[in-house]
Amino acid sequence: MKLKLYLASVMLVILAGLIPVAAMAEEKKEGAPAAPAAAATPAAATATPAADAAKPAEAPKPADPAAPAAAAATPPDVKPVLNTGDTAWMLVSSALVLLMIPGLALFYGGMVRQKNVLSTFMHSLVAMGIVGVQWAVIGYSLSFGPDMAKMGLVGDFSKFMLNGLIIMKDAASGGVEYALFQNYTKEPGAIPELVFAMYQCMFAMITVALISGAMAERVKFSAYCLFVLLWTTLVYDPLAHWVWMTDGWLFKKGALDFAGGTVVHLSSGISALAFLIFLGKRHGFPNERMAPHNLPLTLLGVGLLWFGWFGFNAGSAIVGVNTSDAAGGLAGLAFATTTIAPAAAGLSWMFAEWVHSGKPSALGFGSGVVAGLVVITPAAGFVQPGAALLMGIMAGLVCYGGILLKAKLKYDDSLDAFGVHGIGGTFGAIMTGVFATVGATGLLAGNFKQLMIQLIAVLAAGAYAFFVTLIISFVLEKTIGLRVDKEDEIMGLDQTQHSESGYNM
Amino acid sequence: MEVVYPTRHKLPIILAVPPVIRGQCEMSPAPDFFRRLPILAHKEVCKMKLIEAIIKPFKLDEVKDALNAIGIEGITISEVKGFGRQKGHTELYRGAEYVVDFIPKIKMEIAVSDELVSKVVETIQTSAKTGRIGDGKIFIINLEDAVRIRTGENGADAI
Repeated sequence: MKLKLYLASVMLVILAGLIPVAAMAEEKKEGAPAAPAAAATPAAATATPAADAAKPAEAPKPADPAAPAAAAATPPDVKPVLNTGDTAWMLVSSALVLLMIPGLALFYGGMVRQKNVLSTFMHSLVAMGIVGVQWAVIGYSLSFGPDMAKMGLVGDFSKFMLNGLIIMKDAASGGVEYALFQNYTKEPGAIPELVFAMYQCMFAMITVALISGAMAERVKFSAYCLFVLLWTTLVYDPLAHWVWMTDGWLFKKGALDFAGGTVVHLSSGISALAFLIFLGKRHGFPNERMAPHNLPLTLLGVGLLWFGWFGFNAGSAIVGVNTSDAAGGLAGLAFATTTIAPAAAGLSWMFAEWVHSGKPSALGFGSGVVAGLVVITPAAGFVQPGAALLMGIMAGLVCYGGILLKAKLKYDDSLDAFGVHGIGGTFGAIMTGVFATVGATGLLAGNFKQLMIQLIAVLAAGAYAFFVTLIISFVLEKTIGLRVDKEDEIMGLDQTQHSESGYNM
Repeated sequence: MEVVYPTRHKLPIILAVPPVIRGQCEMSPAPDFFRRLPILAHKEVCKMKLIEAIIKPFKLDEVKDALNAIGIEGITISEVKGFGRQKGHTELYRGAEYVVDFIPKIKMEIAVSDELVSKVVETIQTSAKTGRIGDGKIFIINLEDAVRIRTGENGADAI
């Protein structure tokens, strides 16, 4: 009964967000089908708010290959000048985001059974390895290289092996110049593009690692490694290009995604769901006891994730609109919202659980914090602290509803990659269109269109991630197989995939 | 030198070797027919009991102190799980509910000579009691023999 009431209230919250969608359904029909194909034409960019007002006219111009990445489509109004303060903050932010990955390993590792702890850690860590290499070789170029074929869909190969980020001035003396990344062309502030490339590399690493939460305890390690490579190349890189690159079609539409609600959380959560279709349930699910084996590890992971998330969100001021400062007021705002929303979400999840199932669980509070972080990610630099508080409270409730739904539907998303990241990312991306007031306007500021754009971005990114992941997992299933043998699964992946055991005490 | 303690169920392999040191146990009440065999003449029956108590973990210190106070010198404990009338509990992880049937308990094993049995049982019962369901059980089992490994003493001397 309580569950029904709860679900009903969650539905109400979601519906409240969807009402404007219905109201603007006609407009959506115009926008959605035309969007992927016609993105490169100036007509598709009509919905763009003031931030990009200058773009439609300039978009068709050929890119100047000598210009820095972000400025490829728009010739700079001011010459970029290296800002050492911004550079220092971005170097720290990159390292903070990297730290989230071992944090995620702890978060997930504590939630599996003892026999699978190492394999779950490896899912996160090996992503650092594979994506670290992939990003340098091709990933950065596909994401942030100049547009391929002017479709706004994916970058070209011109930055293969991070080519062009270091410019050899004088080969004889070894004199070099570093390419600069200038986000906002009206101001000179810039950081070395190498720093920007590495910052984005960390995002690519953690995004694919997030998906591993759905596959834990049964996926074959070889299949997982191939999946990481294919998914990052075919799903993440194009999505990053769509949303964050100035050439990307969603960027041109004016979709707001401050630090990766769509690109990182929604895409990984939806992909987790798609992968599950071919992977299937764990042996013994849901009857066998599959309780977390070490929740203190998980809670330590929550702490590291929150800590690293300051780099993730506050660092993303580097791509903030209307400012070139990576370490300025906008970063401060993102830092504040990244503190407020998870705090509120941890509490709201805790209280929801307290009321609904009787006890405030530690895992519940930790999950709430992560849900809050996920939801505030796309909005971090667009909303005021009060809105962050509201979004946080809703994040805890919505994601708690998400995992209850999972428990009811009995699909085996082992560690709730979809329940937390898929639902939280989607919810956050839509709510950004509602609450945005800083540097952009959302529904509450009277801008109906922004919400529509957010919905288009969510649908397009979600659908793309879902179908491409479906194809990747289908191909892997038919070639090398996604799962370990039943016997190996029962023995545990640590033993059978890695010939190790996590605890020898 | 190998020492074999003959039992009723198992014939000795080396027949000629008697137990080295004899404890305080009484002679075997075996029928005369068997006692005529030289080896079985040494057969002893020790009047000892093994007391096995299942108690609540938090009562362990109290029970141990109470047993020390009445002069019990050796206790073996192990952490066990089980259920009786006190049913298990449920655990809830992100909406996934697991019923935990087996509750953690402490199992104590104490070997005592017969005259101490009632005192020990009484001590355990009073010190482990909370009056609530799940306090545990005490089992009393006949103990055939005991050997102290260091010295080879057997019977009641060994406990």
